[in-house]
Amino acid sequence: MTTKSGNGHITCVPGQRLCEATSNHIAGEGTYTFNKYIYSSLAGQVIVTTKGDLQVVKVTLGRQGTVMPEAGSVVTCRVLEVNPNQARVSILCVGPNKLHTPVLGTVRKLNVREHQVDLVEMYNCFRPDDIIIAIVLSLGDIRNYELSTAGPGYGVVTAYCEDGHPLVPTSWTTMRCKCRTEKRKVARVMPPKMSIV
Amino acid sequence: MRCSSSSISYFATNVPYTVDRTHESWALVLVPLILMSSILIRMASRDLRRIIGPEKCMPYTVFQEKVEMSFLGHDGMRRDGRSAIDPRQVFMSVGIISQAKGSSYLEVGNTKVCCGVYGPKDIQRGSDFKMTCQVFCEVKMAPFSCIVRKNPQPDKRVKEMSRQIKEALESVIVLEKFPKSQIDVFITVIEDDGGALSACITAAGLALCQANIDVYDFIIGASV
Repeated sequence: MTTKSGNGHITCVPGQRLCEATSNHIAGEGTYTFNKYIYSSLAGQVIVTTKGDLQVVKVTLGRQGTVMPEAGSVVTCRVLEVNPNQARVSILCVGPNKLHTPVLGTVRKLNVREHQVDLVEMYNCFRPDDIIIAIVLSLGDIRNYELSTAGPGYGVVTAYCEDGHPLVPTSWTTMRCKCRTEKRKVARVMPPKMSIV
Repeated sequence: MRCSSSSISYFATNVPYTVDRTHESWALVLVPLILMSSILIRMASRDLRRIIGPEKCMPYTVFQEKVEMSFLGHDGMRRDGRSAIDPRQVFMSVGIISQAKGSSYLEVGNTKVCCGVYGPKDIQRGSDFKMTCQVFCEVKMAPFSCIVRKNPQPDKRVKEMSRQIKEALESVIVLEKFPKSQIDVFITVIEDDGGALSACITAAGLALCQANIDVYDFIIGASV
């Protein structure tokens, strides 16, 4: 299997043995290891990427894979309802993968921000229909995942004011539109790296 | 008293009653009561969602003579001209249900099966918390799939098929990858010309592949 220019030429079906699981080759997404061999678990094309001195073997079809939220994954959610103790959200995407069916999660009052956790007023942090970025703390109970927005990179990304105008962040706790200023727990989203010509 | 409406006369065919001209006033009270009771008894057993043909009608094949046929004829071939080891022609297609995560359509000879896979999604109410994925499988036979019209309600054979397919899929899907979720597999048998269970399993395997759900291997069904 060549890694330079011959990538993506091998089409495989689930259960197809790809290569030996040596110290150089490790199983990436869409594959599993069994009996010291790497097998494919998706139908797609085999792509080998180099990570340091390791070669990661993964199977993809160009489309997004199927992932569910797990502890530590960054998720994009829409706020459904806000209570004084918690906010219920609907998880839309896990990382870059959009979920086929949204699942439910909660952000508790203690997990909204890092400082002064007792004095949090939920209605000044989130409003229904906001889009937030959060990190999954745990699988939670049968209904909801446990999420947290404590941190500079987590919080409200997109929101609309009460009259429907889009809000633009102006500080860590405020967003404004052309008619009013509203309070939110704002996420500091880093802009994508742009190459300087 | 003459019943002018034809629908009332249809409901009243099995209710034996005679109406005397002299007791018309009693009839005015009694007849509606009897009619209502017969209607209620009928409604309990009648399927109101579908247009069923007239009662006591059966397909003509029930009255045909039954001919005893063995598996292989005199020339050692099956009834449709195949030898004992020849498989039937197969047609497969994926992506036919746009709302489903993955779907497939499979034809084995005349047996036609269609499958849709949804998930992984939130577990439905009433189920326990499990760190592995749960598979929910339902097979439905269309009423026109067999020669004699089949009741849309699942019977024992269909429930057994659903259970077997669920167990087969549970052994193939990488369940640890989707904690606290469930995968729904819905299979519809459009025409049953034999080998429906193996066709359903193959269709489910195809739909799982198209749905990009991690599986240990490509599952197919065959009858030996």
